[in-house]
Amino acid sequence: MDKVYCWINGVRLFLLCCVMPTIAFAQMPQISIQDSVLNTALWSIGLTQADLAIRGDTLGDVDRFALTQRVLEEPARAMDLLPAFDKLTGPDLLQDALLLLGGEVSPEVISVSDVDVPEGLKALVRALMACQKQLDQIYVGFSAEEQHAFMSLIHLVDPGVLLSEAASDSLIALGRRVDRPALVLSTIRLMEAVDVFVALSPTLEIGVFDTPVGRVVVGGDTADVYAEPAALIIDLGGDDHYIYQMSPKRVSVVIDLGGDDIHTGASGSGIAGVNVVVDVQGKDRYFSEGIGQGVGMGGVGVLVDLAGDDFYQADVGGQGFGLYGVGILCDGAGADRYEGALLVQGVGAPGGVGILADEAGVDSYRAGGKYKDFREAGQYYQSMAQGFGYGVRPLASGGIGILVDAAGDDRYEVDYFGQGTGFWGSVGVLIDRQGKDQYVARRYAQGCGVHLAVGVLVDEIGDDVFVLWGVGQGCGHDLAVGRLIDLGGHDVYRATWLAQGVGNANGVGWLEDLGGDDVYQAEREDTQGFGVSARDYGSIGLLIDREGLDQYRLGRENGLVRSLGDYGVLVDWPLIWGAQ
Amino acid sequence: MIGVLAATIGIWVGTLAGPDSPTRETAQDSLVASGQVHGVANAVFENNWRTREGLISVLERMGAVAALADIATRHSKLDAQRLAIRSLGLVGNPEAQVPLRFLLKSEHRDLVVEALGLVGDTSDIVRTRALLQDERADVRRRAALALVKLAGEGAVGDLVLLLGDPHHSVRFAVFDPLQSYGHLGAQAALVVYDGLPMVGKQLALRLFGQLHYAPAYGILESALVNEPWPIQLAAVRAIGVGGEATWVPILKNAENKVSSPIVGMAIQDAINDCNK
Repeated sequence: MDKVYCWINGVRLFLLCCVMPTIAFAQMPQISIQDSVLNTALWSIGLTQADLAIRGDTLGDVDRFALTQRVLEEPARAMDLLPAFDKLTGPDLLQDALLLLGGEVSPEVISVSDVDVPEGLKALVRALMACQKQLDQIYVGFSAEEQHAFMSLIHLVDPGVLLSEAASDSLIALGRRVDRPALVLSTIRLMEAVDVFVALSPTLEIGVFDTPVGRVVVGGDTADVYAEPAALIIDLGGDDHYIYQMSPKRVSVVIDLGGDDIHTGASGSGIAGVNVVVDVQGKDRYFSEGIGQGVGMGGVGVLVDLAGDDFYQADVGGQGFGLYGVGILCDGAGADRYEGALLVQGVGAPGGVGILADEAGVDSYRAGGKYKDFREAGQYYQSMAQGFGYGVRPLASGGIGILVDAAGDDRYEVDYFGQGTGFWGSVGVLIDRQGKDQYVARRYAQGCGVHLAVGVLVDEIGDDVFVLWGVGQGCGHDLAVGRLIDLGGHDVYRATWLAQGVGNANGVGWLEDLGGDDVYQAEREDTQGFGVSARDYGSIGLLIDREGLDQYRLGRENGLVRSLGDYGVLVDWPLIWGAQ
Repeated sequence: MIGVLAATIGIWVGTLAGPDSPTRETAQDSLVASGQVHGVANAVFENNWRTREGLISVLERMGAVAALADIATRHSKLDAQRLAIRSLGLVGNPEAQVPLRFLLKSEHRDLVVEALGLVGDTSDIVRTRALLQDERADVRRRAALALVKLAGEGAVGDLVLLLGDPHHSVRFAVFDPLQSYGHLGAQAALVVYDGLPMVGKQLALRLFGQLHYAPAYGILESALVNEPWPIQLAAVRAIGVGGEATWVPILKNAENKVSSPIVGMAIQDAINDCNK
């Protein structure tokens, strides 16, 4: 048989020239974006933009977001595919979450009856009633026992809980049944009513009112303690203490209009329901021993703190965390401090979108300290934070985790996993708009995709410092995409290995700096535009610096196109070249 | 006795859930030595992914084709199905061909064709060739590599066509086999060169350079000045790899004609290489 095949093959060689145009070569790659510098980089190593598409991913599951798949297909368009995040209000961020969820939802007019409460409360209570009515429809297919089980969803991702695969499958199946787009749409309407109430700040009398949606409490300007759940709590001022229970509750809203308050427990956490907390001003402190501070687990949770220097401390799952739901933490003005153990500060777990948005102030973000990673003899902690997507390997692709900081000189710290990193079929994005920022991490961080995932870190303005030990700063590992994009400023990038535009195990890694005189420090050869050739066909690593006088590992190499292996390239682009 | 054996298997299986360790390896060795195919196969259906991974590896070492085929076709988890298919190939037993051919039209056809390549029966050449046109790049790549195993140098005509594949994973995968065929590979690439897209021409030029393939020197020289700059660049690098001093005047001549500074710099490097 093989001899016959050889003979046929020999004949075919002579005929090839005649038939070629009609066969495989006709499949010309499509240009993804118009970018002569990118094309120059790719063409110089025999690649096109079509080659950036991740191929060989056969483990797609129903939890894989369309966005994840599209960025894996077209890494060059990563930023075009994401929402703009140009308005960081509760309703706007919920709209962004809705876009990310990709669901089709038909707005429906919900009619509710009149309610006997003071005039200033009427619109808000009616919005609560409408929301509850919609939620009743959304959860109609869930038994009371199943709704209670939503509290256990966190066990899917908490390393401190060992679940059998059957138990995990059961929780995943439960989460998948939730109509998340419809939930978000209901929450948007409620949030709009909350925003109108806060803007109008109507004069209210202290009191407690029973309504069809539950108890409504209006507190005064003394130091109050709120430990009992209510459908609506409005506090007019004073240094108050709120104690939130972790329990499924259909819909509830807390509005605190002033004072330095303490919020403990599952604040802004929607578990099989919707929970909204708005704190208008004051130096507030938030503590959560479990989940909390903007969490959606089979529901939607929103925490908005509009002003003041605030302190947030969470355990596992918080500060903008979504797991088969949407969790949003939105902080306005003030120098804020965010601390958490794991899966905090903008995290999307399976079926979830988690967003942390900070509008202004010199902020500090820190995560880790509870669960040690097994690598490096357990010296470092897992962080999984600060714009992180997390999937349950191999059962469910992860969601979308976003951290957006609009202004201020900020500091970000993680150990393992974070700062615009995606793990297992997920997307993690960190966007910092302005300020001289510092990013410190150990491993798998700063624009890093790991296992069929996407990680993106975008820093727009400011002289920034990026410090990492290894695997990041634009690194794609295992059929994944990692991008670090810095739009301007004199920046310093420091790493040891597998970093600064590196592809590994069939991944695509890409570091791009658009302006400023930058310094790229690295120790090993597998850095700065390097494609690791291991595993069948190798990976793609791109380091593209578009402007300025820059310094690299091998010296000051301006006006350079340097290929590293078959699949890696460093391009330092002097303006005088123009487009190639 | 059976109960004792089952309990012992249960203990070994229990150690497979964790990360790689000497204990895990010992457990796998013990399971292989036990010869309990049925018990191990059942455990694949009852345990989590990490344990499954270890158990499928045990079945592979046992050469348990029927059990692996059962997992490949009946298990509810994709990871188990795919690992079993890969193991069917690694067992290398012709008995595996029947279930593998059955799965050739499934979503796992990338691994199936790879496994058929490992089994190594030339009667699968036609089936394998058909997948070179598959819509999925991973399928085309694995089919190409399987064809290399099944047909050897007889695959050269198909491989050179894949130098122009739209995805690099396919193009680069076929480069090494073509290079290993020496002048036969270069000759086939020369035949198809004019019809190749830009990325294919770049790889073909690299092949000519690395194999010092003299019949293609005319194409290399022409590419230096008559092609778009990425192909010029590939030609310069191919000449640099050859490192022959006779190229120096040709390179110098080209240096005055090329407009791309990238190519210009590469020519300088190539001249240095040729002068060494």
